[in-house]
Amino acid sequence: MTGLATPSALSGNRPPRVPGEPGMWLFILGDLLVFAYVFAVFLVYRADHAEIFASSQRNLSVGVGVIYTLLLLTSSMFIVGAMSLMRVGDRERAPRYVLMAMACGMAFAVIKVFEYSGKVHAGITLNTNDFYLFYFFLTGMHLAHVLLGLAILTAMWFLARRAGTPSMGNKMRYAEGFACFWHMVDQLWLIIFPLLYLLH
Amino acid sequence: MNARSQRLCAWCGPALAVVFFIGFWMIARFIPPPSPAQSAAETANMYREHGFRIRLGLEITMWAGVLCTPWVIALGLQMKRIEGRWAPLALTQIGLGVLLPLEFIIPFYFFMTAAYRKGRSDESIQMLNDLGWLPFDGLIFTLIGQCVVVGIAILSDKHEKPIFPRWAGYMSLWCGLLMLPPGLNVFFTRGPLAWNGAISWWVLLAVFFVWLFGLTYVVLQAINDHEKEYGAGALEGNRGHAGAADL
Repeated sequence: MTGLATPSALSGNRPPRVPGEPGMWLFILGDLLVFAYVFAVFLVYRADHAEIFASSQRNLSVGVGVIYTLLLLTSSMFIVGAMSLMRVGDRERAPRYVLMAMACGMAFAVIKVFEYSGKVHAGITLNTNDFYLFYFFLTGMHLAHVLLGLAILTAMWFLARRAGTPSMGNKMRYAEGFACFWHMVDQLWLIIFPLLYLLH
Repeated sequence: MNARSQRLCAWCGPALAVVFFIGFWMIARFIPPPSPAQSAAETANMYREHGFRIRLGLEITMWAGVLCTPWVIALGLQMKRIEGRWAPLALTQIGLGVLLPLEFIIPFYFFMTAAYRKGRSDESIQMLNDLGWLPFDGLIFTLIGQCVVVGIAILSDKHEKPIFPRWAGYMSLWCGLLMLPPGLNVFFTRGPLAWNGAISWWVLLAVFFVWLFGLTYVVLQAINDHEKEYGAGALEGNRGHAGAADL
C-alpha cells in the first residue's frame, strides 16, 4: 500500500466509476428516453387541440401540483441525507431518513388517489378528451414509478440498517442505484408538472 | 449438457422475428395496424379485398408463435442455473412463456375468420377484427410476468460469476414496465393508446424486440459459459456426476 499516491477527486488518480451500477443506468436512461417520447407525443396532440387542452387544464389544481412537487423534492433531499449517513456507517439515522422519504412518497400516492377519484366523480376519465388522456396516462405511469420506487426504497431501508457493518460488503453501489432511481422519479415529476399543470 | 440444442432453441428468438416480419408485415401488411377508428364498412372491405394475403401472411406468422416456445425454454434452462435445483422463477418464466404461441395463434384465427366469408355482415367482420387486435396488441399480462421474473432472477443471482450480466436484469424489468400501456387499448378507439397508437403499438413493438434480442444475446453467452464449465467432453452426454453446477 505504501508508495501509492493517495487518490483524491482532484488528482484524477481514481479510476472512473459509475455511481450505482451500469445496468441501473440502462434502466434509468431508457425510462427517460421513453418518457421523452411520450412528452413529444403529448406536445404534438396539444398543438392540434390547443383549445381543449387549455380549457381542460383549468380544471387541474396547481396548488395540488405544487404540493406533489414539494413532497418529492423533500423526499429526494431525505435520500441524499440517507446516502451521506450510510457512507459514514450511521445505521441508526440512515434508515429513518429513508423512512421519511418513503412517507413523502406515500403521501404523494395517497393525494394522487384523491385527485383521481375527484376527477372520476366529476365524470372525467381517460376517455373524456385528449388532454385528460395524457393527464391520466402521464401521471398514472409516473405513479407506477413512484410505487416501484417505494418498493426500491424498502430495499434501501434494509440496506441502510446494515450500513457500516461487514454484511454491507460492497453493497453501497446498490444503495446508490436505488437513490438514483428515486431521483429519477422526482425528476420526471419536475417535467410532468409544468407540462400538464402550468404550460399554457 | 447439450450446448448445441440449447443454442438452436435460443436462435429461435431471432428466427421468430424474421418469420413475424415476413408474414405479418410484408405479406399480411398488418404493420401499421388498421385503425380501430375505421367504420365497420371500411374494416369489412379491407378483409373482403385483401382477405387472401391476410390469411396467407397470418398462416406463416403462426409459426413465429410456435418458435417462442424453444426460445422460452432456452432462457428458462439458463435461468435455472441461477436458482439451482429448486427453481421457481425459472419455471414460472417457462409457465408464462409457453402461453405465447396461443397469444399469437388465437387472435390470428379471429383475423382469418374475418376473412373467411365475404358475405358476413360488416359488424360481424369488425367484431372479429376487434377480437384479434385487442388481445394481439393488448395481451401483455403474461409477457410482463416473464419480464419481471427474469429481471428478479438475474438481479438476485448470488453466484460469484453471475449467470447473466446484471444489465440484462434491469433491461428486462424496464421492458416489462414499458409493456404496461397496451393493456389500456380496450378503452380507446383512437389516439396513442389505441391498438395502433404511438404508445400501445409502436412502443410495444420496439420494446418486445429489444427484450427478445437482448435476452437472446445473454442466453447465448450463458450457454457458452455453461459449456466451458463442463469442459469439451460433456457434450457427449451424461457423465454420471451431477455437480451443483449441473442444476
